[in-house]
Amino acid sequence: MTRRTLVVLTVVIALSVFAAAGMWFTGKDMPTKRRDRS
Amino acid sequence: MNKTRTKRRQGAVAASPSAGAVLENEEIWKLLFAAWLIALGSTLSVLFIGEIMGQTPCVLCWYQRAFMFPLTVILGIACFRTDGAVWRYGMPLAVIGAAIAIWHTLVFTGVAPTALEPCGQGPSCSSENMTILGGLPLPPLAVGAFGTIAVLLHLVRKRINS
Repeated sequence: MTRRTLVVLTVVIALSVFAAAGMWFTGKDMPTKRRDRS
Repeated sequence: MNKTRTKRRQGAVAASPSAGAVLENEEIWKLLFAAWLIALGSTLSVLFIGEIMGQTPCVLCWYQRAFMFPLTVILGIACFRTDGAVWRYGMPLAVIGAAIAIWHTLVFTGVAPTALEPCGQGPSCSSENMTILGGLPLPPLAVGAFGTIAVLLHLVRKRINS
């Protein structure tokens, strides 16, 4: 694996983790809300 | 004719890196990569705290952001190109950011007088909200991040000059 590939891969992984953490944090109450609505 | 060929050969030898130079280059890249990872982690963390957790940054936090965000971009490009000369641009950002973070830490801990606190309106610079992961204060973490980046860039500078 070249250095450039490693840099690009790091960016992709970091942004994916950030997005996943954001979705987890903002959406962790969603199942409860759905249950309340039904 | 022969002289020209010899010169070309010599040029080719000079252009091709020696084993020592390759190792040196590898070390410089590792240092840059470590500095960039710290900057990237810090940037994404403060974005998470500010934009997702909804914790409004104080004035001193904004000043520190202004120096950490560009570090992420220029260190990332430097890693991509293995450009050790980035220490010239990165070092001032890291040192000024560290100075602001030290000031923030002094305000946060109450060592600096209240008159030096710039956060008059909006979120307080010294409130208990300035913590993460159950009580870890953010200002000293920022000092550590900026300080480590400055040290790593200093090592890059030493490797280049040696």
